[in-house]
Amino acid sequence: METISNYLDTMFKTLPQTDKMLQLKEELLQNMEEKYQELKAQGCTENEAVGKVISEFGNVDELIKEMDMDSTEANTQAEYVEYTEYAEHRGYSEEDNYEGIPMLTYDDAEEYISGVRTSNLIVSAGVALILCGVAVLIFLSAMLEGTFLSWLPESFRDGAPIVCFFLFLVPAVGLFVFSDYGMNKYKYIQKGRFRMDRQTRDEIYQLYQSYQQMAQSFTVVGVVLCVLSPVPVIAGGMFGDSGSIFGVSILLILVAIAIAFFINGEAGKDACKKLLKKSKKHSY
Amino acid sequence: MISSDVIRGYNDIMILYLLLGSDSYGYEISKNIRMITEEQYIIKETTLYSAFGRLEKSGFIESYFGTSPQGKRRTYYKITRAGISWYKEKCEEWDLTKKVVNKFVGR
Repeated sequence: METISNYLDTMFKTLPQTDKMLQLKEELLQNMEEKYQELKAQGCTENEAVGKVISEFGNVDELIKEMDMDSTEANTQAEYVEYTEYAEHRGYSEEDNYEGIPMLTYDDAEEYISGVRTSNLIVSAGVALILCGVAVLIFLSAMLEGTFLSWLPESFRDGAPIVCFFLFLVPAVGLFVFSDYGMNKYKYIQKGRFRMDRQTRDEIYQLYQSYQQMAQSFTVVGVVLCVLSPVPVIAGGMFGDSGSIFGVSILLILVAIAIAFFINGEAGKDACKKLLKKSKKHSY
Repeated sequence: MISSDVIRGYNDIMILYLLLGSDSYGYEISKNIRMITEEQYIIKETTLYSAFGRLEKSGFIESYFGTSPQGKRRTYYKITRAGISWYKEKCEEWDLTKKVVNKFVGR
């Protein structure tokens, strides 16, 4: 009996020790033990039974292929179930005290999630500003090169687009710094220095699922925008060179909006995921 | 004993067939395969679980946790609607394969 468990240990030694893998190993051990018992009951000797069970195990390489490419969603769910069940099994409860590690309430968690979402919103605004800046830069350069504005001094025609670009860039950098600063007070969550009770976990898991749907629809919108973004360039191209340059500006703005959708769509989901994942080390 | 290379593409069909009968778990499925084939085919543990992984990822089966009579946790599998129609497709494919190969068998 121990031989089987040792065999599995050896087989799994080289594999990544993810929760998913350990869960699978546990399941395989159960199956093999059951098989072993049945063989013994049929009159096999100890050695025969162990030999047969091991010979029918197969090759672990088969498992790596299937298990490793699993989506993170499935992982989070499996971990969630695993850890809550593990906690129950061990009889841990909310009252168990881990000194110095704060217990997170649902309100704290919600505040953190909305903090993450705000911060992502600010970041996406910054990204949008930079892309708009590039769009303006391209557009202005093209305009100022055009013959009908050639009476302007050359230094102005060269300098104005760059100055305009910086007018966009500076506030964007400000936004990045600001968003980072806003997240400072949640450092303890980012680092996983908190605990959560069962009920809060359940509630956050539900939030996670709804944010997941949101992330999906946001991603779809973002992808559609990306796919459509070259259309203005093509359309503009029909009106000559300046038309396609104008089109490129619109492309950049569309991409900026798409990025905003990507960044904001994931925010709530990621925040929940972090809460569910990070808390486990300390909550049980 | 059949070689596992030859039968590789048809492990899925066996698993889905058994799940069409009722939800089941790993060991029960491998036991049933052994029984139905009268020990002419014994599926390896790793083959079985990699098939589960693949089928679940494709949305043909779903898993959930249940408990064994010994009170241990166990993963149960359930066939989905997509799984049922894929099973039918695989059956048709096998019928065709069989017909084609048979034309070259038994000279």
